[in-house]
Amino acid sequence: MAVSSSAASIPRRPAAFGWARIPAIVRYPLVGAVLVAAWHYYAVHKGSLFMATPWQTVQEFWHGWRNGSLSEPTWATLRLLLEGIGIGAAIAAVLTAFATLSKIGEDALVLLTAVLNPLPGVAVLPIAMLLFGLNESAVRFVIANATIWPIAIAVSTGFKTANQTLVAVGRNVGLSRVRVITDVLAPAALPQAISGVRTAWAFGWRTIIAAELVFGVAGSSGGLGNYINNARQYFLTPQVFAGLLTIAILGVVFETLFGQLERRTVIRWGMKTS
Amino acid sequence: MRTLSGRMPRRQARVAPSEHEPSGPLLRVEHVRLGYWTARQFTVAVEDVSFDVEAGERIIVIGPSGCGKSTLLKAIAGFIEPAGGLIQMAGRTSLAPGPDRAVVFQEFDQLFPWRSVLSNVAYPLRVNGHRRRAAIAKARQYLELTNLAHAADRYPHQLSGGMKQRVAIARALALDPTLLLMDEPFGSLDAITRQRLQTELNRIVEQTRVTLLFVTHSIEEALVLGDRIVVLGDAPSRVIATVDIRGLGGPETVEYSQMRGRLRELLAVDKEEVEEIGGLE
Amino acid sequence: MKTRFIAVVAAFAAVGLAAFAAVAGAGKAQEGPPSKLTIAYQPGLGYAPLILMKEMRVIEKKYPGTQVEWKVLASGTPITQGVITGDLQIGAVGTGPMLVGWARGVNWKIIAPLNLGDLWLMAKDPNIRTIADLRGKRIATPTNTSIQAVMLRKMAQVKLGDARALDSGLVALDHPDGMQALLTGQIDAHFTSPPFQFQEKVRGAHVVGRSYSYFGAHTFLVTVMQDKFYDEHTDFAKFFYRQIVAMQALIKKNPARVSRMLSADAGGAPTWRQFKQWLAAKTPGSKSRALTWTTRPLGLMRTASFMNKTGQLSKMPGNWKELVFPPVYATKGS
Ligand SMILES: Nc1ncnc2c1ncn2[C@@H]1O[C@H](COP(=O)(O)OP(=O)(O)OP(=O)(O)O)[C@@H](O)[C@H]1O
Ligand SMILES: [Mg+2]
Repeated sequence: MAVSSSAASIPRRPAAFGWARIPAIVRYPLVGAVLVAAWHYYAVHKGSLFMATPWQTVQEFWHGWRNGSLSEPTWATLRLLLEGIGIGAAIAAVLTAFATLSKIGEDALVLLTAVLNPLPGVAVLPIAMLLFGLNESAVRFVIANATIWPIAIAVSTGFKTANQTLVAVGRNVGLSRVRVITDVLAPAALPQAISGVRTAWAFGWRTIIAAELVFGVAGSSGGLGNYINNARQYFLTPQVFAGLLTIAILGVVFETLFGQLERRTVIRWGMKTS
Repeated sequence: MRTLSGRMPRRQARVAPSEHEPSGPLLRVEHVRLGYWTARQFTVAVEDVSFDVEAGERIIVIGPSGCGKSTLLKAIAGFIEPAGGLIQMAGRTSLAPGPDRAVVFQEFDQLFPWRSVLSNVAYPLRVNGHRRRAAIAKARQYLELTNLAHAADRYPHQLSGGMKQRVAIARALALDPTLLLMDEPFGSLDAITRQRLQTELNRIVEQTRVTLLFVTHSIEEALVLGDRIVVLGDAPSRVIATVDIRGLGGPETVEYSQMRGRLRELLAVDKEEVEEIGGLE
Repeated sequence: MKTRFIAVVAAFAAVGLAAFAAVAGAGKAQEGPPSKLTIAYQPGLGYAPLILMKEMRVIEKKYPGTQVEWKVLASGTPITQGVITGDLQIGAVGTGPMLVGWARGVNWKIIAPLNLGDLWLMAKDPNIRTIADLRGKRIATPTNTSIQAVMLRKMAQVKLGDARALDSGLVALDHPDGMQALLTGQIDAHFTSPPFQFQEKVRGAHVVGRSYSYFGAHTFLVTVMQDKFYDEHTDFAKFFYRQIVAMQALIKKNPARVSRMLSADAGGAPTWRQFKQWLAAKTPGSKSRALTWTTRPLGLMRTASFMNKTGQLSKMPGNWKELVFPPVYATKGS
């Protein structure tokens, strides 16, 4: 089974042309520099009331993370977001499992998803406010609602499209119905589940920022949306941009984390190509 | 009955003793009728099939594509309930899927992609009460038996088709099944690999002395692997012949060519009526 | 893949340059009336002079060549933003955001104050009677820079000794949402404006504090425009000022007719009788009306200096005239 390892037998990577020939460590900074320069000149041209320059933004960002004026709202928002998504994911998991085990559960899931999924996250806010009052629970509820359905849809699609041979193997080796769900269907649906959580994450972000804009809680418990809105009211453009930069960076960070998760699981297992 | 006797359920009082001697058949398939519900109607795949399998025997089920071989095997494995007739395994009817009838499916993608080769074999053992250490040790032993020790840490998608089937065989064997069910496991392999795996399987079956029910549509395969051959006709299928080939000579012998010729005839000609061939008895 | 990436980058650069050129080319304007005019205000009784101008088509009659568009926006922030970006030529805002913008270098001034307004801090829970009862409670104001939020801080300073004492309970809600939230018990207090404060009172809320009793009579809403717009369309701006004065006079002289127009603008509900009653509404325990229709600015400097003290305003105007355009000078403001 040994493969010849002499250097000559290793085929050359196909040659790249033009721009692609420049190594990535040069390419990305180059594109970045061009974009930052364009941003800078545009900001200078528009004036500080409209746009902050990259440097002002970075300064404000640094400042805000040093003294907590930006980091605290960010953590507040992230905490709330993760709680909301956690609740949403848990409910989605239970709903999907129930739907897999019983016909009534499946009907309920289909009906609930059809009715509730198209509702934009923020549209539920007034109801949430009536149910929970004007507090964090209302926001959690709204985020949970925004995340349950994309996850539930993704996971139940994953369950439905799961390889039936694997299910048969599971039953053949002696798994109970519940263990077939946890040990076979759940991992089989992982690619869909991850992309469902990814979608939910994006929905959740949009929803929480919008929710904070709608009833941005001023004072100590405000989140990132509120921070941006407040900065807007005081015409503090660099802060607005620092807030946006924070959202962008978090987006990149979480995208990277999801990418890592996929690389370590579904890509490694050959269930999804990279 | 060696290792099996411990698992054999007590016989029921109402069944006549003569039929329940330990020497009676391990598997009884009696006038079994199988089919599928499609849209509004019931389509029959298997019309009327009967045969017995003795413990330690190697039974081949052969028939043209689409005649209901897989359906029959799935029914024995407990995935499909017979619409008529009786499937009795070690005295029990109404069978649920279980590791006593471990299956090697026709499909290549029957390995859990999220488990390594070793874990694919060891995990079913864990499910069936083995401790972690014991499960791994046993899994390694069966991977060695199927010449896969070197690939233990790979993931299924990194294996060739033949390797995947060997893992599935190792997994099924490791479960110590009373009856090993194999559904054209080498069906989509090239002739060379197929032959090698057949030889390997023969060796393993000899070594483990497992009872085997093997589905194929290849006459060569049937002759190489079997003790007895059950020949099915076109769907909805019936048994058109049962042939005992124990003691048949090697491929170079005349008997072998004659037997092959007969089987070819049987499978090529669509026979309505059931034909009993005495074989070499 | 790589070439597509370059194409995308190039497309972005092209769009950026085009936008740049478009912005650089625009702005050189002509004298005379503007060809297009967008005016924005929020829901509320205080914007009545603008609603009357809209209903009577005052501008269109005088300047037939001008395309006039009116916008009603739910909150103040997009209005201030719109005036800054030039999407709106005239915006009606509270004095708070106007001052904050001015201090941050927005080149705008007040072309015509709309009114003086006694703003009420409402609560529904009978146990909340004084400012001190509001500690740790949830209080809604339109925004953090709104005149209501400023007045709340003034109250906190006077009664609790700390202007920021109630900040941790602040919630930003626009007036209709705030009213809903107060009446359904989701918030404890609502610092609002006419007609919402009247409606809340009718539905069982009571007045905890009034802005006049802490600040004296003060300007509530103003209309602002950019310096550049005033310079380029001075005649129009003066006309606009005179018309605001005329509308204010009309409100005082013929409230019935005005109420009918306001009701018509609102699509019939509330009724004109309701509007008439609101226009006549008095401040509790006083003979003066809650809204006084005048272009004379009052309390601008007091508001500014208080906001400056609480850190909301980064710089102070030398005197009130720095905040208004010349037509307002004659009003002897403060
Ligand atoms: N899930 C199903 N639903 C409906 N009909 C089915 C289903 N599975 C199989 N059949 C039908 O039953 C008949 C027998 O199928 P089966 O898979 O048992 O054939 P086979 O003998 O295993 O064929 P092959 O050698 O090609 O594997 C076929 O006519 C097939 O179309
Ligand atoms: Mg088959």
